[in-house]
Amino acid sequence: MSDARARRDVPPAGDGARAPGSRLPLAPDPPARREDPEDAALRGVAAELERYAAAAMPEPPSGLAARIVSAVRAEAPRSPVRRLLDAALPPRWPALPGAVADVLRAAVGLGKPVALGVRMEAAALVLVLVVATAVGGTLLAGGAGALLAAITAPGPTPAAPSTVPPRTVGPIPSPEVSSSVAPSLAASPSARPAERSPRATPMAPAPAGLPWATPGAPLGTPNGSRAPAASASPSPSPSPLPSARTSPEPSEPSPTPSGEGQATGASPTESAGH
Amino acid sequence: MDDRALVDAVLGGDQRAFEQLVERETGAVFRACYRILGRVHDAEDATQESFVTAHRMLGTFRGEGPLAAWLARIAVRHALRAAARRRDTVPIDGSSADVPTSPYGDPLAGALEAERGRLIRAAVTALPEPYREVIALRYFADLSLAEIAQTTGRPLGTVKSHLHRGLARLHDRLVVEVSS
Repeated sequence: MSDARARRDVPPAGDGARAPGSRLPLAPDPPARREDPEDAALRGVAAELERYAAAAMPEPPSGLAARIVSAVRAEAPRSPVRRLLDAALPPRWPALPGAVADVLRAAVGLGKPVALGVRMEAAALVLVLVVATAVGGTLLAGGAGALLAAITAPGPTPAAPSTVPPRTVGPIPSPEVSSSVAPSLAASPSARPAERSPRATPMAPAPAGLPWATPGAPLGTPNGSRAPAASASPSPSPSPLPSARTSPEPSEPSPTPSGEGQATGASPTESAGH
Repeated sequence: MDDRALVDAVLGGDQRAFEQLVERETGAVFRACYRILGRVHDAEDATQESFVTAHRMLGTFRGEGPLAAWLARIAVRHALRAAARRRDTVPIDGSSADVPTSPYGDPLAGALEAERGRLIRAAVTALPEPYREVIALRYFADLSLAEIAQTTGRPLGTVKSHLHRGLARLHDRLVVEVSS
């Protein structure tokens, strides 16, 4: 404060003052070198703070250091989670977000404003927390899964019975083997649809040369009457009567002159129903 | 023993190293707390809390600046927080601070000095952040501007700007206090 005041009291060197032995007036001082009243006030405040700090210089009481050391030793017990973390993690782990923030700062650019630095710190903290949570969760899930597997699987479990016979890949069965299997397959027509078509269908065209195959009449019956719908589904039970629809070879004509007997009496459904 | 080696020894569990650290830094920490709080007992409590916090957070010390500056920042924060808490309480004996004894034994000079100190402390603690921290670190903890920049992680120009604006606000507050 006194320096500023003394500087203000000194007349400026410019403003028409002449240097000794010179006819020209000296150039005035640039405006930046003049004392700003605001700067002078701030300098006064700074000097006042320095004076206060110089006056407040007490020595610490004797025994304060011992008290601090004992207080640190007898620090209040921390939570079990905190103690577990302290025991499990390395002593430098609190510095990890700071180190990550340094890396982020170096990646983004140094000399950025404080707000960006704070954002970098926050981003680094979030990043570290996310990674730590992910790793911890993975380890926890793995451990829990292993524990559950160890608990729930005391021994080898028997193989579950399978309803589907195992598929065997081998040579194609010979015709003898097929004929031995044929009756059982014939008992279930729905299992072999390819064997029933096309003769089992009512719309199958009759072979040429048959007596009931008159032109213009609807197919399926010799006299134009429709065959019962049930005849379309032949019964697996063998019928002793010859059937025009189920007989494999209609080459031999029926002994009955009219086709009605063929259509009604030879129905495999009726024979099955009776 | 330099700062890094001392910190590593404390982190390694060396109790003797921590005692050495406390003996070395207690004076500076206590003075910073006293200049903010103005009472010996409050300054002792703040000093103790500062060392407890420092011991707990020693792993975060990165060695970018001196350990004394790192400790001073912790102490200034604790002391400012304690001063903000104490603002709402009135001591039983009616005195807000210890009255320093005048070197000349003049009680009037001592009272004036105490009143001046009270005004300065009240004006500094009433400043908003970050001006309050920068001014307290510069004038109460005796840190240089470079040390403040290292400890707070701010650029040096930003610290200078904060100091300038903080002094301007402090000037306005002091003018208002003195005029009132």
